[in-house]
Amino acid sequence: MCACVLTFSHRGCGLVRVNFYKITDDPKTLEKTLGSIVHPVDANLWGSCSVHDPQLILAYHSNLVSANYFEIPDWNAYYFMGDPVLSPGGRCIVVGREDVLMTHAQKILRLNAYCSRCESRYERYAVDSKVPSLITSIVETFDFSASPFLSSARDYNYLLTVKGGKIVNE
Amino acid sequence: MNDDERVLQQWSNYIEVYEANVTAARQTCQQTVNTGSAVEIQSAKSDLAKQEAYLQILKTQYAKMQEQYNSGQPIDTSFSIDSTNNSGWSGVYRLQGSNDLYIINAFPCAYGGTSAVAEHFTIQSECYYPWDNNKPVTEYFEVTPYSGNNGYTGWYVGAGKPGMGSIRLMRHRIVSGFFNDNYTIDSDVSQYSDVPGTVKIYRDTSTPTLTPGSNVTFLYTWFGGQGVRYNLPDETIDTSSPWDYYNDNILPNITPENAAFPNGYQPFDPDQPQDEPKNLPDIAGADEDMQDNSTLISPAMFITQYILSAAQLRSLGENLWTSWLTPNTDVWKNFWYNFSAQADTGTCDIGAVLNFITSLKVFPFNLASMTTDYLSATDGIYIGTGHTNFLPGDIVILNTVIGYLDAGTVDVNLQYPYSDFRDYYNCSVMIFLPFCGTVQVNPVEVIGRTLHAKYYIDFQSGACTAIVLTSNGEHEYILCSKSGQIGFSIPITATNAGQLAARFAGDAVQTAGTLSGLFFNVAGNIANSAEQMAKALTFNKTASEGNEKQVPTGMTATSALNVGKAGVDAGLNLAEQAIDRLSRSAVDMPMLSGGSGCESLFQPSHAFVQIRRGKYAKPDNYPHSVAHLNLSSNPISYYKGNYNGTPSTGSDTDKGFCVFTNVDTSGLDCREDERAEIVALLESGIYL
Repeated sequence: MCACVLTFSHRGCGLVRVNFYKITDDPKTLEKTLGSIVHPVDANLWGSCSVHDPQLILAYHSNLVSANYFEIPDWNAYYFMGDPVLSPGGRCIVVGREDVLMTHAQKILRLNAYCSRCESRYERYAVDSKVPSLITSIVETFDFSASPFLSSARDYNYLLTVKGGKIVNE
Repeated sequence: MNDDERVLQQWSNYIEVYEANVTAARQTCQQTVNTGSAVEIQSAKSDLAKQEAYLQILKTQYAKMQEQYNSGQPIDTSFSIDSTNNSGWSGVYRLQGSNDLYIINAFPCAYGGTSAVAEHFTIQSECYYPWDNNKPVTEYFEVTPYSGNNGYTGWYVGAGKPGMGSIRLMRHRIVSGFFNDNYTIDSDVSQYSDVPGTVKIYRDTSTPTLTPGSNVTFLYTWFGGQGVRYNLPDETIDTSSPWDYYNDNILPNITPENAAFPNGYQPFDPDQPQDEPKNLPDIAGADEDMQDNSTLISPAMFITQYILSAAQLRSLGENLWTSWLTPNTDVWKNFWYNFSAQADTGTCDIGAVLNFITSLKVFPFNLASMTTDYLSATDGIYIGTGHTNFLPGDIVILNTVIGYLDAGTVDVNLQYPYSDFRDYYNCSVMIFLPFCGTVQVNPVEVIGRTLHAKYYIDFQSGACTAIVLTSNGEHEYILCSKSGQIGFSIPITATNAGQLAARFAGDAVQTAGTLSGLFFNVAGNIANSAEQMAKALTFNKTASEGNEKQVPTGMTATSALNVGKAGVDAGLNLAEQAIDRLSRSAVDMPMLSGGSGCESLFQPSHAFVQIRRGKYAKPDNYPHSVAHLNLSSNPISYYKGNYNGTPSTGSDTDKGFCVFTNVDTSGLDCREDERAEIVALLESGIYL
C-alpha cells in the first residue's frame, strides 16, 4: 500500500474503523495473538498525521483504558497504542506507532535471511561463545578391555637368549 | 590457362585430395570390420559409403565437364537442377514433416537413358549441393509419404511441378550398393496409378545387399519403363547399410564455447563458486591395514630364546654355579665337553659359558600366550651346543624375535555428555599406554569412537611400540603411536650391570625411542623431572576407583629424588608445585612418563583413556533469551517454533526467539522507513 494514499471507507472522509485489542505478546513478536476485539469504533484522524504514527480522535469508552493495540483494517496495518488522552466532550485522542512486524508478517515470513541464532533449531557442534564456561572440570576415565600385562612381578616371564642351542625340528 | 582449364584443374585437384581421403577411410573401415563391434562396423560402413558416393559424384561431374570442354561447350559446373533434359524430375525434395532432403539429379549414363542418383541428407542450418559447395539449397518440393503394396513405401510430389513434363514413374532406392540383376520394376509399375505430372519416389524397405565383386556405389534409377540397371566402374566396397549423405560444409563449426571436452570433463571456471561438499563423513579414505603377523622373524638356530619362569630361572642359575663346577661328574663332563673345555684335566671356563648367554630379560606378560610361533624344548636347555642337563619340564622356545600383544579395546562413550560442542571444546584427551607413556589426542577422534590398542614388541631389545587405532564402526585408522620399553635386562655380567646403573643415575636423558630414565619425560627435560614425578605421585588409586593412579610401590618423593639427577635440586616443594600446576587450568593434563622397563613396572598395567572437559553453566532459559547458534540460511518461516522444536501455533509459549542477518528484503513492498525498521528488528531478534 502506498504511504501517500489513505484508503477511505464508506464511512466518509477521514473516518476509519479501528479495532482495539489487548495483547500480551512482546513487541518483537512477529505474529501477535490478538484475541477478541476489545473495542471496535469508528475514529477520525486528528489533524495531519502519518500512516506510521496516526493520531485518532474518537468517542471515549472505558474499554479504551485497557487496550494497548489497535488495527485499522482499511489500511491493513497494526499499531501499538500510546497513552490515550482524554479530552473534553467525551472524546479521546489515541496515538499509535505502526507495528511493522505484524503489518507485514506474511511477507516477512517469506523473506530469505541468514539465521545466526534460533531458539528452535540448533547447530550443536558449532562453538557458541555465549555459553558461559566454568573453571571446574569433569574427568572421565575409560579402561581398555584387555590387560595382557601381569600385575604381580612373581608371574613375570624371563627370556633367556643363548647363542646356538640344540637344533629343534620345527 | 583459360578459365575453363582452371576450373577443370581445380576439380581434378579436389578429386585427387578426396580420393586420398576415401582410401584412408576404406582402410579404417576394413580395420573396423576386422576388430570392431557390430554397431561400429555398421557405422564405419555407412561413413565409407557416404564418402564413396560423394567421390563418385565428383568424378561423374568432372567427366561431364571434361566432355563439355573437349566438345568446345562451356563448362557447366552444376548439375542441371532446372534442366529439362530428361531430368525434369530432378530437384530437391523434402519429406513433409521431416528433416530429410533428397536431391534427385540426373546425368547421362553410359548405358543410355538417364540415370539419376538420389542424395539424402538432413536439413541443417545451411545445406549445399554435394557437387557445389557454394550453392546452397534454397528451394525444394514438399513430398508426402506413400505407402503401397509389396512392401514399398515412399513419397510423391504433387502434380504440376514446373518443367517436369510428363513423368510416368520412377522408383528410386536410397540405398548404397544394392544390386539385383534380375530386378525390374515392371511388375511394380502396375501397382500404382500414374497421374501425369506426378512423380512417385519409393524407398525400398528391404535390406539391401551387395553382391560380392560388384562395383556400384550408389543406386541409379531409371525413369520410364526401363529396368533398374547398374554398372559403373568404381571401387568395390562391402556394405549392407543404406547410406546417408552429409555435406561436410554444413557441419557446425567447433568453437571453444561449444567444444566438448573429453570424457565429460568441464574446465574449472575460477569465477564461478563451486558447490560446498555436502554430508561430509567422519572418516574417509582407505582403512588402515594393520598386519598382525604372528609368525615373524625366526632367529633360526643363531640364537635360542627360552621362556622361563622365575623358579626355572633360579634353578638354572643354581646349576650353573654349582653342579657344572663340580668337576669330573657326569654332568660336568657332559657339559664341558661340549664347550671344548679340557674336561679331562678338570679345568673349565665359566666365562666361556657366560659368553654363550646373550641376554636375560624380564617381561611383564606371559610370553608363552601370544599368538605367535613357539617351539618346544623337550630335553632341556642347550647353551651353544652344550646340553645343560637342566630339565625342569617342558620349556617353551620363542621362535620369533618380534611379537604382538593385543591390549584390548574401549568404547569411549561419555557418561555425562553435553551432546554438543561442549564435549569437545575446552577438552583434552590423554591415552595412557603401559610401558610407553601418555599421548594427547584430538577429542573428536576419541569421543564416541572405539579405540583399539596394540603392542609390537622386539624381544631382543625389549623395546615396544604401542599403536592405538580409532574406529567409528565403519572405518578404522591409526590415531597415535608411542614407543617405549617393555622388557628390561637383568645384568648377568659386570659390564651389563654397569650400563644399567648408568641409566638409573640419569645419564640416559635420551631422545625418543629408547630408555627415558627414571621419571624423566621423553623430551629429556631434567629440570621438570621433579614436577613430572610429583604429578605422577598425585595419583594414588587405580583408574577403576576414580581419577587417581597407583603410587609407585616402595617409592616416596624423597627416594625418587635421590635416584635421579634432578633430585639433587633442593628446595622444591613438590606438593606445592603439583597443586599450583594443576590449579592453573581445569584441563591441564599431567603426564606420566613411560620410563625404562623397570620404572614402568610400577605404573598402571592396563591402558586407559582419560578425558577432561570443562563445565558450562547454560541457564535453562538460554534458548529463549539468547537462542542457539544456528548458522543457516532459509526463508524466515523455516525457523518458527520454540526450543522444543514445536512449530509456532500462535500461542505465546510456542514462539521462539530468532536473530537474522543479511536479510534479503526483495519482494517486500513497503515504505522505506518500514523496511529499515523491519531489518533492524530482525537483526536484533524477534519471536517467531
